[in-house]
Amino acid sequence: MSAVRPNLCPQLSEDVVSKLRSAGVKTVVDLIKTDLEGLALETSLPYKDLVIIRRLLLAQFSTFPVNCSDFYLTTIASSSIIPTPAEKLNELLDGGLYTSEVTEIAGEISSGKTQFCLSLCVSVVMKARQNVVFIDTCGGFSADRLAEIAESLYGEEHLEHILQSVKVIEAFDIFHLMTALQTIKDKMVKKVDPFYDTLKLLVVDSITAVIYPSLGGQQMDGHGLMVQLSLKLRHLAADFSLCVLVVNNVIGDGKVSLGKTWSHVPHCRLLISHPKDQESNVRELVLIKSSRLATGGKTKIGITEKGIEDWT
Amino acid sequence: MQSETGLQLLARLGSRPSIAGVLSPIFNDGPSAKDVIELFGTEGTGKSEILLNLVAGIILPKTWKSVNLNGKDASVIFIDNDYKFSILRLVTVMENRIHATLKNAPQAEENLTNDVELLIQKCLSKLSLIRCTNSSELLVTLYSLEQTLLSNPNISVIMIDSISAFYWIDKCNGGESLAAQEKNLTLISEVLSKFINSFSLIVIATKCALMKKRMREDYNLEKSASNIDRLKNDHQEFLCKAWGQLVTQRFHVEKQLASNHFKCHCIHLGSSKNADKTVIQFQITDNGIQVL
Repeated sequence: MSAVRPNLCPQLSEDVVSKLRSAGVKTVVDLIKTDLEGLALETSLPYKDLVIIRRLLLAQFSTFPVNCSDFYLTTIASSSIIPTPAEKLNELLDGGLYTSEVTEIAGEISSGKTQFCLSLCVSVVMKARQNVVFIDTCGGFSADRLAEIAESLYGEEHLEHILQSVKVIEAFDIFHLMTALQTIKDKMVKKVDPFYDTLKLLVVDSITAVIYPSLGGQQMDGHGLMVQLSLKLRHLAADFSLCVLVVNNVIGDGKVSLGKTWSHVPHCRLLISHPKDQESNVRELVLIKSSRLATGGKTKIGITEKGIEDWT
Repeated sequence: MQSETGLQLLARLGSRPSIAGVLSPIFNDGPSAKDVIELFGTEGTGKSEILLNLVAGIILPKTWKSVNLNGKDASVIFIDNDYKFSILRLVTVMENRIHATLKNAPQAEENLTNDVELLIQKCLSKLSLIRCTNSSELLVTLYSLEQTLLSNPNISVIMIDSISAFYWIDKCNGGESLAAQEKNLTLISEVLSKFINSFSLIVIATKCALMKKRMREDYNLEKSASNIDRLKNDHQEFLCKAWGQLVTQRFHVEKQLASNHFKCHCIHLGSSKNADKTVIQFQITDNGIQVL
């Protein structure tokens, strides 16, 4: 919580602040919740000034309510659906991945999580004509593979454009990741880099690699960091109509890792796995959580040199 | 001596629109004024969906073009701490609800599609959305709402999705002392309690099941206990005491994976023990919540 300090608002001079402090009012919350009449008597500051200070601080530190009829119009204007390369999967997701949402794909090792992300990058660039930021936290990003998918789908003439539209950021721990997200936010606010004007998809592959090391033990710090990170991702998604895709692992028998607190974070959760009785490049996708669709739907995809596609 | 302004007196004595029976039978004939309802459940159990359905029912008018829409025509403040509020879903639920009612109403005119859109726009203006990024911001925002509540007698509900959003962050920022960890939420509960009493408001909040219930030694005994006892034991209060005391009704929401049905158990707190054992089953469709 912010401390009451000089120059927060014009009425708060050094003198006023020190008087308030001697009356036990140290933070903004202290000032807002205190009975002003009593405070005026105790500090011999004019009641009128205190009321003005309180009102200014309230305005400065609170969030302004948004009227939903305006909010609806801006949402309609800014939201879009990012189709995946697989038609059946799009049907399952009611069109694809939605902006302003955090979508999670979870699966075991070599279940095709990164392939899904890379494939989606190419389709965002070519079909939606938007840019992608790919945050690589475990060294799993492969530019060669991205180029292979791009070239086999769209040919050599589009290769350069596709590769230019995907920006890769490496962040190997949670602090670097948070810094990276903050940088993206700053760039989107400042609007100096044209790349970020058409940014639509943010991939974090994988979220587990950065969160897991800080969890566990008796310390609660890890949970705090995890929630901070999840809020940052959700704010980015909501404030800039981004589509955020995070990759998670599964532990043991199909249980998604990172526990109960994280499980509330994604809007949509897809589980990817390799059905034992199928060929080696076939994967099954199950929608196990969604805030707008019935869950439990399944579809099969195949992983080829063209990335992911429907499997029939 | 306590003094109040004329505006405060009017706000205290004047009545706010009742929303009784808005989502029956889940809430029976409630929620009534001064209720504090907590929706508790793990992820994907339909907590936010219940809130959206409530919002839809509350902001729609009672009748429209002589068709009975069964809305409450009241205003709502929705505090979205989880950044998950989906206006598109809300509009879908409202649209489907209106169209379903129109279908069954013989007196309805045809080609009302444009009018429905206008109606929804009008209704949405009764809903204010607030998004907070941390608990002190939520606290200050609540303080700043006092003026809004005083000047708008049509607001009858504050919804918070979710009250547990900043639990871990506060726990880490508070250091070793439990009092410091819970300071903000305690103050938030105090402000809410003040609002509830002075404005006869209703507060509906979701609480995520952030942690597993610790296994106790008498776990085997609990296993044999009845369903409602099991649920009571399933719940572990991890938020501060002030919040726990504020809640008057707790709804446990569960999801049955096999059938895609949801179950909702109402537990009245404070009053006679186990007075209410109703279990409501519902499913979630494009039209919103359908009680089975």
